[in-house]
Amino acid sequence: MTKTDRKGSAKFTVVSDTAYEVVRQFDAPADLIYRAHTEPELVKRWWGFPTSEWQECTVDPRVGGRWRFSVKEQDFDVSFHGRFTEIARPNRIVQTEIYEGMPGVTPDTEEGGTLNTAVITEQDGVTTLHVHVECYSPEILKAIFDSGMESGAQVSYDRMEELAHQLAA
Amino acid sequence: MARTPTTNDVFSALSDPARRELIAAIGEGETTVSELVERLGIAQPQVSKHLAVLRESGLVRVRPEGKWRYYSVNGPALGPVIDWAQRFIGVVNERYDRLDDLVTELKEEETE
Repeated sequence: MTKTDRKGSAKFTVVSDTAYEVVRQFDAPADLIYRAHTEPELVKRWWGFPTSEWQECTVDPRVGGRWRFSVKEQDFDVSFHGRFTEIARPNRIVQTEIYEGMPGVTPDTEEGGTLNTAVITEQDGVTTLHVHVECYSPEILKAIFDSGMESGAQVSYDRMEELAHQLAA
Repeated sequence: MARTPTTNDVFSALSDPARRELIAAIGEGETTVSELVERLGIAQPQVSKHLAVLRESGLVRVRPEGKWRYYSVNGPALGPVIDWAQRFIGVVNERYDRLDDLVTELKEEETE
């Protein structure tokens, strides 16, 4: 079976002053994409960066259930946490997301993050992941971009390639 | 990452949808306040107020000629914004590329 090359194909749109959306397609069933978001052993294999050393990967995919991802990089830590507000396997995951790098944020903070709605739909063997990130304020949207920029600078494309080859081997 | 105040101004200037619309309306050419008022259907004081913010941030330049003032977009001033967005998109893309590899692997495991 030929596999469509979808590398780098995530489509990113800023939809308002406080929200952005990411759309990406996968040649896989919807349930696999759902599992990759909700099973810690699978989350660890794609979330974060190739160089990440995992500190915590907790996911309790129930309404009100908590999640926390924490990775250590060479020079910095990146941690996010939140709660699930809606879960409908395999099509819908709604969760709050709080970046712990923001001033005054601790692992217990419940306010000040984003509300992420992931809609997972499968058609003819192709699954579309549509994520809407509502930031509540333009400042949070800015902070998110900043954190992405900061972490992105640490990611080397070469290592990324290497990892992909290892996985494919 | 600490940003210089100037860069910050560009981001603040663009945080208002009316100002983004103004930049789009000015486009690649030169235009006057009255042309913008007509094009956007926004009152003149509003257009002038937003143009002042855009000028301060360096996103818009003004060229006086006789009694007219011609406004144009200063493309290179958008550089930090483009860079900022591309880095973020890069991170998002790399993450989903890894998810792509993962699901391919899982699919293969399942069919084995």
